This record gives sequence, C-alpha cells and structure tokens, in this order.
Amino acid sequence: MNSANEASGAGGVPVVEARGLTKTYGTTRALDKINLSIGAGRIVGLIGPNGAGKTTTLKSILGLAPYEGELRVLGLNPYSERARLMQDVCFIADVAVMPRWLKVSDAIDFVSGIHPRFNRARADAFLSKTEIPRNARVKQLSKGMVTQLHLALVMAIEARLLVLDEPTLGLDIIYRKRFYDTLLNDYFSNEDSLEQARTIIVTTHQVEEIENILTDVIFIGHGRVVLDLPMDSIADRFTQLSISSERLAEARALGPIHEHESIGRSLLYFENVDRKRLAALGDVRTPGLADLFVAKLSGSAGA
Amino acid sequence: MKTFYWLLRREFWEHRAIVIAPIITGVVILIGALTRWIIQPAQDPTVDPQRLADIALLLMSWFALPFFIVNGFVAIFYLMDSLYGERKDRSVLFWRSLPVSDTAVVTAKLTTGLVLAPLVAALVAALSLPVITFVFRGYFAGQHFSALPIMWNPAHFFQAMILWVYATAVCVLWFLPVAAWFLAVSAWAPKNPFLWGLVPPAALIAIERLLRGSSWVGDQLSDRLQGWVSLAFDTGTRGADQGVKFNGEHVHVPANLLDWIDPGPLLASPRLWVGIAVGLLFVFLAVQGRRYRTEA
Repeated sequence: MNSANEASGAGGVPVVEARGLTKTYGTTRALDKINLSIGAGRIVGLIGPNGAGKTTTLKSILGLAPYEGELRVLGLNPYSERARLMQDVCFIADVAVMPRWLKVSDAIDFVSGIHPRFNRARADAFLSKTEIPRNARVKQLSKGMVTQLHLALVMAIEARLLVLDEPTLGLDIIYRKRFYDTLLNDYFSNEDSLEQARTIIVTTHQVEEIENILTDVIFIGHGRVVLDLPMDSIADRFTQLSISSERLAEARALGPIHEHESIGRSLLYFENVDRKRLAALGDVRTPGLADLFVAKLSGSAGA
Repeated sequence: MKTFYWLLRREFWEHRAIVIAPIITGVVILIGALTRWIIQPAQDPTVDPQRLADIALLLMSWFALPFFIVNGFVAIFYLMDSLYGERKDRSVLFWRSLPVSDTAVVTAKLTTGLVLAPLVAALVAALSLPVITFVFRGYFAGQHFSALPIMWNPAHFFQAMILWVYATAVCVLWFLPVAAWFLAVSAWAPKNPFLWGLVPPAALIAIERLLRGSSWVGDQLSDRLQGWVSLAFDTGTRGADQGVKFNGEHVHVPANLLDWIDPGPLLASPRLWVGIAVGLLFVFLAVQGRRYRTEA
C-alpha cells in the first residue's frame, strides 16, 4: 500500500502531525511553532478567536497555503502533494464557495468524473432528501440549499479526513442543527464501508453546537496552541466554581486561571486543582467549552 | 485522461461564450448576406463564371476570418477571467478541494482558450459556409449559368477546412506566449486582470519611446500579432497577373488552397521557438499562481 495508508494505520500514527508549524504574514506571526497530533477516528474542534490562527492552520493542513515547519497529513506533504492528498481529504472551507454558474446535475457529474472515491449513489440519496432541483444553477438556490448541495458532494466522498471551517456560518438555526445531525449520521457513523475510521476537524464560533460531538478540543490563541486535550479529560483537569463573594478570597488563594461575575456570584475556573477541595467552597461543575475557552484565552492573553 | 476531459467540459459549462460567440458571428453574417440579397438582387450581365469561381474560392478560404477574430477576443476575455474569476468568487476553494493538480487545471484552461475555442470557431464557420453560399447564389439569379455549382466546389470546401485547421495549429504555437501571459496575469492579478494584462506592455512601449526613442518592444508585439501569416503561408506573389482583382488589388488564386500551406519558414524561425519558451515560462508562473494565490 502507499505511504498514506501506512501513516494513519492502526498503529496510532496520526492523521495530522505538525512540528513547529509556523506561518508569517509580513511581520505578523499567524502561527508560532505549533505542534499538533491528531489521531485517526477523532472529531477535533479547533477553537480560537478571530485571527488566532485557526484558518491558517486549516489552510496549511489542506495544502492551500505554504508554511514553515514540518507538517504531514496522512503521511503526505500537503502543499506539494495536494492533488494526491485530496483523494483522501475533503473540506468545506466556507458554504459560499460553490461556483454560482454551476448546475446541480453538472456538479455531480463533474465530481463523479474526477474523484476516485466519490460515491454517486450516496450523493443522489442525500440530494433526494432535499428540495434541490437537479437542473437548477447554484445561483438559483437558497443559501441553505447551497450548503446541502456542498454537503451532498462532500459527504459522498469516502474520505479519511474531513475538514470543516465555519461550516454553518450564516445559516439559520434549523440548518445548523441539521448540518451536524447529518455529519454524525451520514458521515461519521458510516464506517462499515471503510477500512479505517474517519477523522473530522471542525472550527466554529458556535462552540456550543459542536461541544457534544467532539472527542478532542484544541484551543488556539495568538498563533499558539493554548490547550489540546480529549474532551473526556476536561472534567479531570478543569473545574468551574460558583461561590458567593464572602468566600472569594479563600478561593482565589487556590489560584484560579480566570474569574468573572455572574448574577451576584463569582465564577472561578481552576486547572489541576482537586475538585473535592473546591467543592467545600461552593458549587462545582465541569466548565462548558465556551467558558473554558474564555478562561484559557484571557489567561494566555496576559501571559 | 478522464479527469482532463471533465476539466475541459467544466470550462464549457462556465464559459458558454466560446460556443455562443461564433454562432452569433455566423448569424450576423447570414443576416448580412440575406439582407444584401433581398435589397439588391444583382443583375450584372458581365459576370464571368471563372471570375465568380475565383471569388468564391477566396471567400471560402477567408470565410473563417471573422470567426477567428471574434474568437480572439473571446479567448482573451476567457483566459484573463479563468484563474482570476475563481479567486474572486472564492470557488477556487471548492475546485482545490478536489484531487486535481494545479498543473492539470492550468493546462485545461490553456487548452480550452488556445486550442478548443478556435476549433469551435472553425467548426461553426464550416457549418455556416454552405448555408451562406446557398443564400449568396441568389445574388447571381438571372444569369445565363447556374451559380451554385461554380460557387460550391466541395473539393475547395474541404481544402478550406484543412486550411483553417492548419491556421489554428499555427496560431496555437505562435500565440502560446500571449495566451499564457493572460493566464499568468489571471493567476496573479490582485484586481482587474484586464488592466494588469494590457497596461504593462503598453507602458513598456511608452517608456522605451520616451527613454530611447526606439520601438523594439512595440515591434516585437506587432510581430507577435501578425508575423505568423508570412511565416506559415505562401500566398506567393508569383503569377499575380493570373489573380483576380479584389478590392482593387490583384490576389493570386491557387488551384489548390493547400498550396498556401508552407510551415517550413515558421518552424525554422527562432521567433517561434523563443515565443514557445517564453510561453512555457508564463504557464509555469500561472501554475505557481494557482497554487500560491488561493485568495483574491
């Protein structure tokens, strides 16, 4: 088999492996020596504020932009071997990028004609569940329909890595919900036809939307990886403490990474502090990704 | 090969002008022929069948010219827009999400603009020619001979078509650097590829004239525009006396249109090969642009 297959085999060799990944635009460093390792079968959320380097990271992974440092995706150099890599990788960079003049039926014919892993029957099945007319052009479709068309094309590709950059941007809430349902049902659970588990990398501003489907989370801020860990270890590592103001000083002594006020109570975030000790001071729970994100990023901003 | 076929089809889906423009050209010529026929059904008693046959032959051989000229403009617009347009509407992200190399894409666009577009123009011209000849025969209605068999010589028709295909092949080689320049501009231009494509050559001509008072650049570009005609065709001045008077000038009419074909001087000309080398450099730059400049 080719090197790409060996690279992400069962031996735990990562699908994406970055060492010292750096990207400089003029004098600004969009990515500053990032190290990443994403294993096969994971659903990874790449989360960060605007300009943090999320999109730059994805672009590097997809071979859309040159970079410095070492980067292997499915064992390939994405920039110089993009065409080959795209046999096993598919991505939705932005829902708005389908060409407006393209006819729906032509789009299916085209991808079917050039993509060796395109499963036409799946694309047809997906489209038949929508209202999209086959003879319409993209410019005649609503934004939701364009997304559905793009999804139908991408989901029908039996790829090993799916990259989604703000896939639901500008969509209404019904479509957003349906998007992730489709993602899990049609794409991720469909492993019977594949030898290997599929991997998904997704970025979004709507952290709450993807919180429940992720297996791993990576926070990026100021071009660096701020946090990189599996979702199920968040509870072991982070605690959100909700206390009244009279015990604040006592809690602060334990070294919270972040705190903010919320309706008369203080919310403090702790990393690697024994939850039992914190429970004695007030209500403890595992922070949501959005809160954790703010806690980690505001902490790192001062650093 | 299958991928390349789909890449070419894709170009025709997007740029229908490649097919529509020559059809419109044919219709315009047809309307011109019809109205002329209706308005002035000529009654020239002095018309000589041999002269008519000569004119018919010349018209046949030159018939594709308006189609090729229209195609030239269509191709320039097509090439300038091709790599710029996909950046502008960001659909380049969609296209580059598919397993097709940038080299294949650039080659497909170059093939479409430089090879297929003129072939489509020649094909539409070939289909229009019999129709228009048939219409024109009415121009000679009332003669003592039947004009149609004189005007319509199938052997000449096929010679004309071979001549057009030959002209297309010559132009593919000769205009490679021009087409590749427009593609490279399309790949790199931050905005308005038309200005980026046309202003630099014009500026070079102006600067040279200002600084040195010479016109080397202009001469090169002018040669690029028309130099191929005298290199690739032998329309010989020999025996000009046997020719017909056409717009006041004697034009040599060969017995066989294929006598005009003479690629020797063209293939021996360094101008051709330097042009091809420059063209390949521009193609390389276009491929690099497609790779490097994913955002407009």
